[in-house]
Order: sequence, then structure tokens, then C-alpha cells
Amino acid sequence: MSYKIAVASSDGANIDLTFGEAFEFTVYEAEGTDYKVLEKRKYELPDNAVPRTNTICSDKASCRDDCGNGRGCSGAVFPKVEIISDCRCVVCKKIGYKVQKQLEKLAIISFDIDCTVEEALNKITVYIQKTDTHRSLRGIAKA
Amino acid sequence: MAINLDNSNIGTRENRLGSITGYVGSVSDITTQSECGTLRGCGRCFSQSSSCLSGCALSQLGGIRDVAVIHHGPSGCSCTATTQYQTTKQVAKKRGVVNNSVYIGTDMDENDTIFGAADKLHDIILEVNRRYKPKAIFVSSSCTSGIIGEDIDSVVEEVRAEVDVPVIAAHCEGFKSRIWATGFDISDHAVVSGIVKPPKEKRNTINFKNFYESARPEIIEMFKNFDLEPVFLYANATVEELEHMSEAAATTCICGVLGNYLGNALEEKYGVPYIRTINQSGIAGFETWLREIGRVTDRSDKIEKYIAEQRAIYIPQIEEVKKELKGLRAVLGMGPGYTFEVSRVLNELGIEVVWALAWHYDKKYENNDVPPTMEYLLKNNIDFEISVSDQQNYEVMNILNRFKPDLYLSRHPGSTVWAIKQGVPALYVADEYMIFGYKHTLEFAKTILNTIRNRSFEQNLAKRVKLPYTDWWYDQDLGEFLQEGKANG
Amino acid sequence: MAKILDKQRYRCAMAAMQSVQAIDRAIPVLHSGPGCAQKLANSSGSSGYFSPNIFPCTSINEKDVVFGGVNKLRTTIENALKVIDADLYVVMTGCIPEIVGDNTEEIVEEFADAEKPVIYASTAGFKGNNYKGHEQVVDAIIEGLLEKSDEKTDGLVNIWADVPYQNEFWLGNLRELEKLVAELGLIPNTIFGYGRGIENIYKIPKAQFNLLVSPWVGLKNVKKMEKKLGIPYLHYPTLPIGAFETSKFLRTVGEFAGVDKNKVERLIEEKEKYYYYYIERFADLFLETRVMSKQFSVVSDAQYALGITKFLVNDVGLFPARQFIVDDTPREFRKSIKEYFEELNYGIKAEAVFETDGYKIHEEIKKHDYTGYPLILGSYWEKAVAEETNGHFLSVSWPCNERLIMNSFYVGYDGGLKLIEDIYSVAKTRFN
Repeated sequence: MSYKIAVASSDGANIDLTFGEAFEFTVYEAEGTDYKVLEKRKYELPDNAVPRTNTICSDKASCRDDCGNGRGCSGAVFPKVEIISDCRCVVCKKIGYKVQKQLEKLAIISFDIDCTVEEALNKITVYIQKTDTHRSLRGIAKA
Repeated sequence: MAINLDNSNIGTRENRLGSITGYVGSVSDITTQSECGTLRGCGRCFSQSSSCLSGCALSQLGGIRDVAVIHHGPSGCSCTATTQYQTTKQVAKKRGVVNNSVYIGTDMDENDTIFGAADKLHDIILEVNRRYKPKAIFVSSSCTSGIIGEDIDSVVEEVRAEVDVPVIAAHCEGFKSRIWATGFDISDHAVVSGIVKPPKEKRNTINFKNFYESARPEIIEMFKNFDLEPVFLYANATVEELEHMSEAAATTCICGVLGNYLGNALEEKYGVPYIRTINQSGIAGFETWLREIGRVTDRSDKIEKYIAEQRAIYIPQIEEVKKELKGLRAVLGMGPGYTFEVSRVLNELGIEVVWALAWHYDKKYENNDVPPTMEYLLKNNIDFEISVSDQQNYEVMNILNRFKPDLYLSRHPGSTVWAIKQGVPALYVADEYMIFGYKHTLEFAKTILNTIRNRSFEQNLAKRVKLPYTDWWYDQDLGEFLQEGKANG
Repeated sequence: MAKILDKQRYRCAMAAMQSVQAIDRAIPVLHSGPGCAQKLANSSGSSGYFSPNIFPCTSINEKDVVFGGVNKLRTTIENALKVIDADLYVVMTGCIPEIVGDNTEEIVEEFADAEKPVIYASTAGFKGNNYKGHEQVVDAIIEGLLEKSDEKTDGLVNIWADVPYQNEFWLGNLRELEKLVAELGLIPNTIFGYGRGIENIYKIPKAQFNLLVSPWVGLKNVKKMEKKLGIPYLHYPTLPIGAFETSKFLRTVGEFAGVDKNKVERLIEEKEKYYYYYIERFADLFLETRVMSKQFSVVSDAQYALGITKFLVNDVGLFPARQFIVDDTPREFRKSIKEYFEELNYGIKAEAVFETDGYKIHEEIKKHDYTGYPLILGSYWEKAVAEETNGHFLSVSWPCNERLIMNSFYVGYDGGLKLIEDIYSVAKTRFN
């Protein structure tokens, strides 16, 4: 059964963007340990967003800052998370916890890792394939 | 809503509720941020040992009468059996019942990690059934069984065909979650999906989820005034009582974290209202809780009468003791179900909370509301510094060293010791009923007074012991080891 | 092979973190999940300078499984060295890293030149129980810290006996063994418990010999020390409890160490006079207590099962029913251990059974005719079967639960008297 992995990378070779920095995700389709690029998904900033000055959104009324996650601070799913909500996992250099929790509410595994795209996808697809087919993870960390 | 009873593996707490560990800030930050979902937590580059979620999950299930818990893993995982056994026997004896539950391990060894042990597990389940004839069997995985890909669900499926009692899988692959309180959700899920039956009638019962029912007699007495019968779970509860949980008038819990999953699941699946208020500690807590029960079960008159009677007896006494507590400063370290509740009570008693460490923090409860206590604290302008600490001892020590409070209150084993060694009087708020209602709030206030009056034990010990941290650590900022630093960093 | 652990008597190899904890100012650094320490720490006596919630731990999560946890381990060790004030850091691996393939040894080697020693012990839970884990920890100390020494201290004897935090009387027993050895004019050296620690570890290579008081746990350690450090060893399999065995112990150790025979005999004579003074004074109680058992069973590890059996037969004059050894003794030792149980006075042979299934043990006990009230010494698990069989029950073995043991001991002459006190305190609660 195939599934999707969203990757935040500026050059397609390295996981070099944090979730907040990424305005485009490369979505891969994986089946077993094979994967290929499916499409790119852009995240559009809302028109009236302003660059972020601080990260404490203590005033609900004025929450139109670009906190990197878009608007929707009513407890609903963030728009940026929404665009990858059909993916099984997301891979970024760093993912803030607020976003991690949003992802996990949708049963999306998040990996915050600093390495090449190839390495990340190879490892993740092997891990998922093994867990799905109840195979041992022996030696999985050795690469 | 996230509850899916068809799948034996629930999303972990971090998944479902947006929990965080590793946060530093203040109550108003954490509440407003959680209301708009922008809370930042942090990973850690140094951590100390905390707890195992199977400990929570399986000790809950093991407390049910006459069941078998089979923990599939190496011998370390199932060593909880020894304390479990002692606790269940002593708690049952206190109530005057007999609890024959057993907790069995499977002693997985190196060969098993290579060749698998599903067949052995199958045989062991059947053997346990033969030996003890339990009323239900819970089969739990472990980190090791998880990592070698052992399929507990299919073993359980096969065994069901050969055994007459419910056989239910519980998933305790620890590496999949960072916050140990998920254990309570695992046990709730197992019970609701495997034991609770659809309702046949409506009863005058209240599902009362707690730990060890130390206040059972007085609660039963109290509820008689309202024509309600509490059914305590899970310690000493029978499988039969649990089957009927869907017929109750309401579900309530002694701690929000403990009962969250159960309350919501029963409400969602069977329409049993879940009492969601600040918990029953302290005066405001007790009254709010009772009033909500009154509202939900349509017994408000009886409740109001009771409250008025009790207030007349206890409020004057509590006010007396409060005079002597004024000006005291406290630090707390407990699970979020308790930290914020106890802070609220301390505030009621006139004690200043200078710092609170919640072991983890649920941004939202299952129904997407912010936890009631947080709302209460905000509304009543009670603000203090908090960190979300995941039981990290080094943070606790740093804070105590900095603030030198008059009192440290904690709920988890091994933690109060460290306060005392720094010369800070400590109170182990172990029993869940220690601050329950007017009577225990008064007792609690008196206990605090006694604790700080006689400082012999901790002063003697503090003079003679050395603390295990380097001076370097005490000089560091609290956020030192949190990779993303403070909330606005 | 997986087997049913019904009423379990041991914990996994990782529980040997408490062997590290037992060494003053040594701390285990765990490469494992976040919960192992709290779960495995025997709650009795586990607080202290370091307690399990102080132990640094990598708290392995899903990401560490997929991508490896070595980086996290590295920072954990680095920071442990900065934050925790210890003199020895023992990195211990749990189940997950050993299966997923983290090269822990390599990371630990990076700290070869750290300010404080950092060593590595492989203690994955599935590798065995904590008796084996304890041997692993001692092995790691030998490998990581010790070198052969040409300089020897005359009369210095390293003593290895009970497993800390597993054998409930470990600390008191160890101290008493030290006292006995000192009374022979030798210099005892141990590394566990109060006031011993790292300094004593470094003394190990200078010893005249290693004294192992245990049927099997530690045998591989003393053999390794013989090879690597050139230290001979005396293997004394029976924990000496009471006059009979303790006198034998003193003779054997004295002879091995080259202590003057007369000195040893004089010491023994004095000790026995002291011991039998008490026995004589209470002799009527021993002979006339109606309810006292004739037969007994010990349900414990090889150490206590053997030591107590020999005491109750050779000293107290009781008769052995089946004895149950529950530590999952490795097969290579079982034959010789069975033979130890057969070397009793008057040609009496005790039958030792190796069994880890508590249910089966209890069925055996219930079936046997003890010709009177059974005397059952075991762990808290045996309380129930003692009630069912109307037996006298004494908790001496892990888990002890309803008993607090701090510095009590059963070793030696005083230890034997203490064991008699405890047994008869139970018997005296009944009239007939």
C-alpha cells in the first residue's frame, strides 16, 4: 500500500528547512522501500499576514502574524499542516512542538532530522515497511 | 474527535492532545498560548530517567479483580508484578475483598529477539487461563516485543477462539511516546473496547475513576445524600462492574489526566456524561465539581443543601488555619492533572506558588477545550512561573536552589527526597484524596503547618548530605538544556 | 526461549544499574527508554546520593530508533559529565539500542580521555537476568579500569559475595564477611556500599587473592581477573551462616591465605564459645517449641538457598525437604550446585530443584508432607502458600516487600543467631 511523505528541502538534496521556513513541500509517494517525487505543494501566505516579530501570540485578536504556521489559531488545523494532512509522515530540519502536535493529531509521524533527503527517505521507508509487516527492526540504525 | 475503539493501538497522548514536555514560561503564557495553539515545547539534549508508561497502564489493569495481565517482554518489564501484587492484596484486604489477579511475564531472551516468541506467548496465555481462570486477560507488548515486530494483535485474535473470557491487547511500546501518562489511556482503551458492554438500562451509579479508593467509605456516604452510588475503578473493581459502566449517570475522575480518555470515550460511545470541571481539591474545586454533578444528574437541590451544611462546619476552621499559612512560598512538581489543581488550592489557602513544574502538559483535553484548571487560574488572575519538565530532576533541583521556597509539594516517588536534601520541607501528596473536599482540605492545611513547623528531619539530613550536581549546573539558566530555549527565545 | 514468569524472582540485566549505584559516587548512564530506571530500581534503599531519577538517560524515542540514538547518547554523556558530580560513569545499554544497532561502545571510547572515567557495560534486558547483569558490570570495571599490578599488598583480599539490591541482606552480609576476614589478620577489600567505592576499585589488582563467596554468580569475573590481573581466587560456594559453616569458612580461607593454623583455631574456638553461649541459653526454647517444624524449604537464589539449607541442617538440626533455586542458574553450574546440596551432615542429601515458575513451586510445596508445620523461607510470593499449608513463613529473598532490611545480615556467627531469632519470632506467634 502506498503512502506519502512530505519533505522540507530547498534543493531536493538536503533536509535543510525547518517547518516554519518551508513554503513548499516536496511530496514523495512511497511503496515498500521505493519512492518517487509525486508533486510539490506550495503554502501561500494569507494576504494580510505580516512578518513575524515575536512568537508569543498572547493577543488572540491581533493574531495575524506570520508565525510560520499560518492562521487558524482557533484550535483548528493550521493551513500549512492542512496541505500535507494526507501524508503519513513529514520530514524537516526542525519542527516546533505546536506543529508536531497538530501533525500527530492527524496520525502523521514527524521526523526532525538534519541529513540528506535520500538518507532520510531510505531509512523512513525501511522503518515503515518493517513496522507495517511486523518485521524486526534489528540493525535498522546501522546504515 | 480522536477516539477510535476499533484499533487496539491508540494514538499516544502526545498525538491526541497536543501535549508538550520541556517548556518554560508562566501560567498566562501557557494558557493563552494553548488557547490559540501556539505553544512551543522543546526537545532535550540531556535528560534523566523518568517513568515507563507500561507501569501506569498495567498497574491500573492489574488492580481490577481476578484478571490476568501478561506482559510480553524481558524479565525487567514484568518486575512490576512484585509491587503490584503487594498493593492489590493490601488494598483488597482493606476493603474486605479478595483480589486474585495475577501479573505474568514472558522472560524474553536473546533467542526470542531473533526468532520471535509469538508461539510461546500463545501458549503462555492459555496456560495462565488454565491456572487461574481469570475473568479477563490483558496481553501487553513491550519495547522489545515492539522493536522485533511481534504482532500481539494477531496472537490475541487467535487465542480468543480458544478462551471463553475477554482477551484484550494493550500496546506498551515505550519508544513511541515521550510522556508516560499515556499509560492511563492505554488501560482505559483496553477496558472500554474489550470489557464495557452496551447499556441495557440507566442506573443511579457514577463511574468514579481514582487510584486506591482510600476515601471510599466517606464518598459513598456523601453520595447517599444525592441518591447516587459511586463505582470505584479500577482498583478492586470487578469485571462485571466495568461491563456496566455504559449505564452510569455520569463519569467522574479524581484527576483530569487519569480519567480523560475514559470519560470522553464513554460519553462519545454511550452518552454517559463526563464531569469536566476543576478537580475536587480545595473549596472552589469541591463545590464546582459537586454542582456539575448536580446539573448533569438533575440533583442540584440536594447538592446545594449539602454544600451549605458542610460549609457551615468547615469554612470557619479553614479560615483559622489560613491565618498561619499566609506568606508561605511553595514550589510544586506533579503531573498536570495535579500541579495546577494543587496550585489553585494553595492560592485559596493564601500560600504563594513561586514555581510549578508540571510533568507534562495537555494543551487541550479530548473535547478540544483548554483544561478547566488553566481557565480558572487565568480568570482568577493567578499567575506564576511554570516549566513543563517531564520529571527531570536536575531542573527541579535548580529551581529549588534558586527560589528556596518554604515548601515543596510533589506526587511522584523519589522526588520529595531531593527537596529535603536542599533543606526545603517537602510534602508527598501521594494519596489522591489528600485534598478532597472540605474535610481533607482542612487536614491538608494542618499538615502543611505541621510540615513546616518541625524541620528536624530535613535539617538533619541536609546538613550531612552532598547533592549530586556540580556547581556549574546550579549556575546555569533553566533553559540551558532545552534545545529551543524559552518561549520567546 | 520465552517462558512463563509466574511470581518472578529476578529482574533483567539492566537492573544491574543498581550494582553501579551500590558503588559510592558511581552513576549509570542509560542508553534506553525513559522508564527502565524507575521500574527496575528496587524501591528498598534506592534513594541516596544518586537515585534512579538522577540517572542520565537518553530516553529513546521513535526518531532515535529510525535514525539511531548515538548522537543523543554522545550529548547525554557529555552533559552528564558536566552536570552530575560523580567519579565513575558506567554507560549501560538497554534492549532497543542493542537491537537497532547503535554502536554504543564506539561512542563511549570517544570519552577515553574525559576528566572522569567512562566505561561501558552491555546489559540489554533480553540478555539475561540481573545476576548475569551484575557480572557484566563487574566485567566492565575489570575491562575498563583495571590493569595488572606488579605491586601487591600482602594480605589484601578482594571479597565478592551477594548481588547488591537483589540479595536483600547484601550490605550487612558483605560487611560481616569483611569483619571475619579481618579477624584472620587479612585486609578485606570490597567496592559496594557505604565508604568503599572507586578508591577500592583501584586496589583490586594489588590483592593477594580474590575471595568469591557464592555458588556461581561472579565465577566468571574472578576467572577473568586471574587471567588479566594475575590474581588467584578462592571459590567458596556457601554463604557462611551460623557456627558450623562459618568455622569451616575461616579454616578454608585461613589455609588458602597462609594464616597460621593455630591462630585460626584459636579464633574459631573463641567465636564458637560465644555462639553456643546463646544456643545453650535458649536450648529449651529450641527443643520445646511445639510448633517448630521438622522440615523446611527455601525458595531463593542459589546463594541463599544453599547457605540457609546448610545452616538449618548442620546447625539447627532440621531436615531438608525440596529446595527451590529460582535464579535461572546457567546450565553449566547446575550439576556442581546440586552436589553442594548433598554435602550435609549425617549423609543427609537435600534435593535442589531449579525452577523459575512460581506456580509449579507452590504446587510442589502443597503436595509435600512436611510432617508438621512447614518452615518456608522465601520471598513475599511464598506468604500465600505458607498460609495455605499452615506453615511458618519468613521473607528473606527478593522481593521482600513487607519487611524493611537496612543493615541486617545473616552471615557469620551473629548472622546465624539473627536468623534463628527471625525464625522463632514467627514460630512463637503460635501455640499449637
